[in-house]
Amino acid sequence: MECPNCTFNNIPGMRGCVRCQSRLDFAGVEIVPPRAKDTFIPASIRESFYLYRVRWANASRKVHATSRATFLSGMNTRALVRSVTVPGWGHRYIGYPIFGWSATLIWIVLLAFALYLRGGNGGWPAYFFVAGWHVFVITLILSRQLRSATFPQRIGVGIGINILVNALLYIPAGAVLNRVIPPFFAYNVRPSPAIRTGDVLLTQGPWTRPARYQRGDLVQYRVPQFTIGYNYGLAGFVADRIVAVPGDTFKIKMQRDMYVNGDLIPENKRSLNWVPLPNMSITLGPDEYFIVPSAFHTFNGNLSFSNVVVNSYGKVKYDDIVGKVLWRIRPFHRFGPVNIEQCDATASPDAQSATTTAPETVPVNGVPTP
Amino acid sequence: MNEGRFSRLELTPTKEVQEITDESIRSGKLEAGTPIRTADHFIASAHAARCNGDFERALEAYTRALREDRARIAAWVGQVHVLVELDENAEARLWSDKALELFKNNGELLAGKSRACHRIGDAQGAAACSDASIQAIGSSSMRWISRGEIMLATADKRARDCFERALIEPGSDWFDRVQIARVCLYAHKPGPALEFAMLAQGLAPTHPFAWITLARAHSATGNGPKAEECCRRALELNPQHEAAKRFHCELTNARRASRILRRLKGWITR
Repeated sequence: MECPNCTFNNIPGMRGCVRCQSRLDFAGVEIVPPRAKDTFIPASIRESFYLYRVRWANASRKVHATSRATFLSGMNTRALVRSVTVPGWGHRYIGYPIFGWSATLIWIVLLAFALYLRGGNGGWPAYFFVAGWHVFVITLILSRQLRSATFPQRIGVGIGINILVNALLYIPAGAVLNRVIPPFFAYNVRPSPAIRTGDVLLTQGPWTRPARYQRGDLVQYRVPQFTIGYNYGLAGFVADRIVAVPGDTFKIKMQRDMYVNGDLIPENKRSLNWVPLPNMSITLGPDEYFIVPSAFHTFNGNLSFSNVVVNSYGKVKYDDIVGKVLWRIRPFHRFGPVNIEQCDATASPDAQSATTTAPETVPVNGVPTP
Repeated sequence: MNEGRFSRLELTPTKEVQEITDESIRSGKLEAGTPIRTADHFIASAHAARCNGDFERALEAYTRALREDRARIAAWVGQVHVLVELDENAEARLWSDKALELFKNNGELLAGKSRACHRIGDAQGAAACSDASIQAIGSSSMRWISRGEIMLATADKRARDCFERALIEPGSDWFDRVQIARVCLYAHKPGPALEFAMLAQGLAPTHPFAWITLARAHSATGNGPKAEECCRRALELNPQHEAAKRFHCELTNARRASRILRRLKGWITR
């Protein structure tokens, strides 16, 4: 058998060349070269990280050679990375397409549930289900290596994967999501077809909110804690419409009519139109917005309180406004975008009852009734 | 015997289609008109495609050659070099590593790997592979071209020595000059590229790829009209030449873009 590399004449039946150690038996050798278009990542990016990949491979080889955790040797790193990225992708890579697709599908469904229930009572269990499924699928990829591991080693690997997956994937993803579209639980807001108590809304976050709000925008904002006599208001978040923007002059006349820069605000454009308000005139600073809070009605027309509350709650700094209300995700039968025009409609049963009946005595936005 | 008018119709194949393979050559069963399916044939067609600038087809042919005979080092080497030409350097390096596992210390494969390493940015690996390829048994122009490519980044004079050494290798032809010109173009050295492209075009004036390389060199030096002329000559030789058509398109687009920019500049300065 002549070696194709060095032309040395080997003994028939040899699998490698005696002189140059080249292979003589080529059965089963892959002949189709890898192509750049076979992967999602462009060649330019892969090439720029190539040296790091080589160094990482050398380092990991060294670790495998010297580590006492010999059970980790022979680990399919590519499958592992794929499984960490998307559960099930690694299984598809190593030749289990049905399980791989099923795992991915289950993960997507669980993730959708977790996103839907985000921030609520069911949010944490749903989150643990998603992360748990992810860790389970990753552990399955390592099952061949873990077979030879001792029980404490298995426990250690499981805990390690759990911590890494949560710390590097889910917690950062949740933090980003809370800054992009945070959820908001509407509690005893001004009754309207757009928002009712118990709704869960998605709003703009600190990273997506506009640089300047307009009059009439429905926003989520932070209210401070305050005390008036024996009454107090807890700090929290509420949603209402912006009545006046920075630089505007806001006036209340006849304990009822609201004027912005001398123009009367139509009744359906206010946040509140059914309790007497203290006559006042406020000129807003460069960073201040004016919102008449819905919580106001709990004071039942007590003007001495109203004056304090309007000044405490009504003037809102830009930094205290979280963002505009965008989408209603719960209850499911009312899923959809929050229509700002619906906020103006006061003909809803809730709104009508609110305008004709006395306000409830339950604490509203943490503000108990006097 | 009654010979009717339909007696010559070939309704059923009288014999199975026979292909010329290495097996049939060895056994001596050859018939005229049968399609050739030998590794040599595929390697020759791959080389022809590579000389024509059609690297995708060349890669395909090299792979088919390996399907016939996996021990053909020329096909492995060709795959690596074609991957480098297609600018898929990470893949080329991976593939050369794989081929070097099969054929230890093969000089041609090491040369291909050194090119891939160099284009990735792994200068140390490229130098090591190039040294090993020069020290390996045998000699070829491609080994010196790859060494010259590495030297081009640091020492122009040594690179030129390497290229000249490549051209005095036995079997060196016009395509080696084209390769050198392409290497120089890749390293943004249009002067030497133009020189070697002109040498190649002088040796093979009927090859469109030599003209295209010359056109690219002219274009890199900023001589647009010359580049267009060379491109036109290439298209005259082969109107269906893909690389020529593509480069002609690039030149036309560049001309349009420069015209628009000139107009914009005129409006701004008006």
